[in-house]
Amino acid sequence: MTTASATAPSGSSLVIGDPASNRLTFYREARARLGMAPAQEIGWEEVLDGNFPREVRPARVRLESPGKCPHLERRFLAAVDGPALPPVERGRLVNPARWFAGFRLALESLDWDWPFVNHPAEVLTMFDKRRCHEHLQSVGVPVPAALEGVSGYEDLRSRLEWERAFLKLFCGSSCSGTLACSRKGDCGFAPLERVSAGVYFNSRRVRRYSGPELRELVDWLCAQGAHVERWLDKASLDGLPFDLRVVVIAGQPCHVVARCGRAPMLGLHLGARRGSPGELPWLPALAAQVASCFPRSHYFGMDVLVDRAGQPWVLEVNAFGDLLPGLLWRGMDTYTAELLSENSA
Amino acid sequence: MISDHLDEWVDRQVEAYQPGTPLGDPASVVYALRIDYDDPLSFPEKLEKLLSTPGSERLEALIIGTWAAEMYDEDSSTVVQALARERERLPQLKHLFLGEITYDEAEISWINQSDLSPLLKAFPRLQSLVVRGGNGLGFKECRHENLKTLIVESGGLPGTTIRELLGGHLPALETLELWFGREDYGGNNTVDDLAALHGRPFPKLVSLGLCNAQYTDSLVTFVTRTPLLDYLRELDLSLGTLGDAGAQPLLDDPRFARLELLDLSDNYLSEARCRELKSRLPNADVSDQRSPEDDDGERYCSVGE
Repeated sequence: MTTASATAPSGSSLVIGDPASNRLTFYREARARLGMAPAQEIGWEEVLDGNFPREVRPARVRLESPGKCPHLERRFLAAVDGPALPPVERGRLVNPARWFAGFRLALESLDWDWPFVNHPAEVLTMFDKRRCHEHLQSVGVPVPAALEGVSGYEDLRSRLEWERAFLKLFCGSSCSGTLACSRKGDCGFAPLERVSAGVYFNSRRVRRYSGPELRELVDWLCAQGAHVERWLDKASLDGLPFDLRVVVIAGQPCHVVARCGRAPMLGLHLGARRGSPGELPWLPALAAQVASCFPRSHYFGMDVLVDRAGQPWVLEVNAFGDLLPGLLWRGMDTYTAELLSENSA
Repeated sequence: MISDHLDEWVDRQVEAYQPGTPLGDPASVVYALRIDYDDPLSFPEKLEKLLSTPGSERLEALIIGTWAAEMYDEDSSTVVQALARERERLPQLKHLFLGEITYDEAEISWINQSDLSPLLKAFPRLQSLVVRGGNGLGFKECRHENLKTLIVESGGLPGTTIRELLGGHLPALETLELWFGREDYGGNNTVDDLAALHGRPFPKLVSLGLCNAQYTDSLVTFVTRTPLLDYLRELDLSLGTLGDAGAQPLLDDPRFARLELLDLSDNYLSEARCRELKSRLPNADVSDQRSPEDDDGERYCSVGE
């Protein structure tokens, strides 16, 4: 069985990703900058097709984000049996749980004995917010309190003791499928556009939902599988609420960016502004503690909220949370820093 | 997207009120009361500070911005009650802007308003009332002898609120501007909610704004079927969805040409149509037309991280 891509000599690095993504461009540039030979590149589609070399054990395997391509997203959805899928539309939340099942299938088809930079088992744990939360909590990492197994709007209403709760699709990323709910306001805020019942699109604009549409959205998210946790008040940086994205490499906090704004969720793609947070003396210990939960992963992105009392809370861990163009640590972008660290380990 | 605070309003310089600083001349300054994210004061406390400052009883205009550190679930009833309670200390209040809030502070469709009847009752000298935010907005008892200007900006104005307003007793009203918004932002309104305009509810009305509508085409037709064009001097249909076909009545009905101002800016008119309209209606503003495709850039494909 031969592949379309060039066969590599034994012992070269392999990266599995979306060839059209700018992430691979950054990765290639980082390798070149460090004088490293180009890695062999395999697309996720080739993995799904079972069309990649397995005979030769690579020296290293990097798993890169499945990307932002709606057609690739469709391939993961289609890898799992289920009802007929609607036409591909950019940004539509078709069936995230099914997408995740497809992604899991793709990861499971790889040889888990290969030397992964981030091991697929841990990538899956990071991706599933419920499991990740449990995992972090079990070693004492400070995480917001969670409400487990919420089945829908009525269940949430009857069990919710906090004023505010944060619902997240268990397998979402880039704030997709997040909903910040206020009991007092009987409303929720989500970066989501509702076109009609069950037809939702990720949106850069955080919208307010109330009444029957809120109920419908909560029900839909819970049916997909939602992680529900307490929505905490953020500390301020220069007068604005903020949270932090930290890239942790080999257990150390490297790149740090504050995301500032008044929206309930602060994605940089949702209009939050970048800020410089200054000294964070608790960060190295926290990064090490979270890293200890993922011993087979060389790097990850970590979202941290500092509350009004100055207490840090880990909101989530992202397997592919290192896309931070232009953000430097010791003069290096995330890809360069990761590679350098990997190769000096 | 309203991204800037006003520098000037009602011919006065806008200044953010800072407790402890003396007040300027009420004829040339209007103070904005804003509660910042880190504000040590609540809205009633900050209002109290303002009203304890010498000269505050001469204030003629007031701007209220964000009224809480977090605006997600605080409606304006705290503000309304506080202002109404203190009415004796603002005897000269003529101009009030409730909700001068930028997009960064809170999206217009997130702002929670409330029933504003107590404000109408409390401030008989009021001439201008500008409100931003349509959620929960009400005018249950809409009566005011002296109100000349009423502007309601929103991302979605409930039909019931429109009916409350148009059913009101506002004998001095000269300017009325309503932003209809979208249904998915709480704007469950239709042209039928404007039925009162078939009569003449406001005898002094000369300037009407029917803005930010999803059905501007229908509004144009509606207007021609009412007596509005017989007495209005200004008609504002901006920020709407008027297309070339929907603009035909503007050319067919000669009464549009009598308007001193016809604001058609920020709609979906083609260049050719705009030229045509301008040549027939020299008082038309056809600037800043948009295209429907402009609105799709908000969607993003997740699976990023």
